[in-house]
Amino acid sequence: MATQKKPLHHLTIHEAQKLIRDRELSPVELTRAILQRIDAVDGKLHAYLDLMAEEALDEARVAEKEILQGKYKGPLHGIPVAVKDQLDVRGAPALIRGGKAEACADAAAVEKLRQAGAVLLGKLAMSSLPIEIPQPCNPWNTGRITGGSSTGGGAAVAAGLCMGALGEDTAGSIRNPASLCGIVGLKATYGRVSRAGLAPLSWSLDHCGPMTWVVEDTAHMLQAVAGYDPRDPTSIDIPVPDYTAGLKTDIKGMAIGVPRDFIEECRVRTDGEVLTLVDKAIRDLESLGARVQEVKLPTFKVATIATAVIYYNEHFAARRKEAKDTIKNAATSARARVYLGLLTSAADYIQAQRVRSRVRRECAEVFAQVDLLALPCQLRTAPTFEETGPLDTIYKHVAPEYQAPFDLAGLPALSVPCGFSRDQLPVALQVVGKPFDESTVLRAAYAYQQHAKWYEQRPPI
Amino acid sequence: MTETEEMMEKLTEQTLKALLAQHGLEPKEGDLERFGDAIETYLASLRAMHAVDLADEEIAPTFHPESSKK
Repeated sequence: MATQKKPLHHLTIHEAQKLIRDRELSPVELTRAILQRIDAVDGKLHAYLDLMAEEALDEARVAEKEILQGKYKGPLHGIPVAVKDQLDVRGAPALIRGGKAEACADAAAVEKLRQAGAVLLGKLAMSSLPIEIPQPCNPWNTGRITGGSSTGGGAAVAAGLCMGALGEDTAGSIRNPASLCGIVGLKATYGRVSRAGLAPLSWSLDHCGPMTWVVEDTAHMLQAVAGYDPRDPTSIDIPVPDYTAGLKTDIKGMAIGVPRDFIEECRVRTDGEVLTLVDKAIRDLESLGARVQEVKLPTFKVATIATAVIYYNEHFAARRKEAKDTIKNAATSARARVYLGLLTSAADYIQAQRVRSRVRRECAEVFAQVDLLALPCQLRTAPTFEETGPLDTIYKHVAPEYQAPFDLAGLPALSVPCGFSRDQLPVALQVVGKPFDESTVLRAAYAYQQHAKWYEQRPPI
Repeated sequence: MTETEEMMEKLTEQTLKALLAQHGLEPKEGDLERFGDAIETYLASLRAMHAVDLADEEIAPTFHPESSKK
């Protein structure tokens, strides 16, 4: 029987795994507690599309038995998690694929979660579906949006409806809900986490990654899902380091670049409160021993529109079969994506790819001088549903903003909470690393998190 | 709206209808009017993207991020 003071649904993965490993907490007890929490609040939040309660309890019983037999698999063993609808789950329909048939196999990342012993609670809501669904609400204020497209992941992790989620990021879709919901979200390097079994939004931009309450939990989840997979033609065969090993190493001497020219491009659309809190977080990194310097990324001013061009074109090609249903039944922004994908010419697509080459070159030059980039992760805090226009996602994708450029570049990018607005809404710092250097990103984010301790505040729901 | 802008909008609308038809699709009723501003904003951003001087930069048809060494 668990003896800790926190409610079980507010334990982090890192806390729960120690209790499970030491047999002070049963995976069945933990899964039941999370299911009760879902029962109590998901009617208000709409995070889950497909809750698989019975299967989850069965998996928790198996995990419990294995642990009692001394077959402990590691930090995710017996931990209840959930995944974005976009990732195939064996036996469950994927609404993104039209929802007409159950997937016959798990996506590679889901398969890896199961191999690590995680308990799968179900599939989470997302935007960009070919049908309209209730929009998930932000646990910090249910009158506000979560941000998308991993909408359910943002709501579920923040409210304690799962201990971690797998999201997908094409133009900011992990970091956007992570920043608006006050959680940690990591888009790993393109090629680091297999896309096999992931319904494509855009083949060359889609990135899987974890969404969790704290940085150490992101490290645990990334450890489970990272690695080469021959089923994904873009998967890269390089060793996966131990992501928790260096987490607690200090950041003294770490070189952090701040792209002031790009922040200036976005300034007119960025809330003053966001800029103030992010600047404070960067000063905090400096106080922890990092060496902060200004860097320039001149082509980033067109990186967001280049991302949109590639996204909409590849999206139309990838989801052409569902286009008729999308035009008939989907939300406004999903329909707009179809039209814009069609309107974009081959010359536009090629120019966007040339921008991508230049952006990558500029990033390589900057990362010859610094270890990380630090910048805002969002233009503003979560707007209300009334303030949110049906085409806001489209407008977000055409003017400079902070998330999409790193999908274009394929670099690891993490959102970590860095404070609250006057309205008590979360604001996030974005930390970006060299290709395949998620370890340094996690190390800096962990140092900042432990200094600032924003994770101690939970949403009021 | 100037005469040229009106003409461009009409042209875009006709182009989009033709492209949809080519794929056996048709727009949802009212969508083309509803999305007029978004489409114009998108096309303006495309023009900005083409205006950037990329010199002899080539395309990146395959994407393979490599570690950069400090």
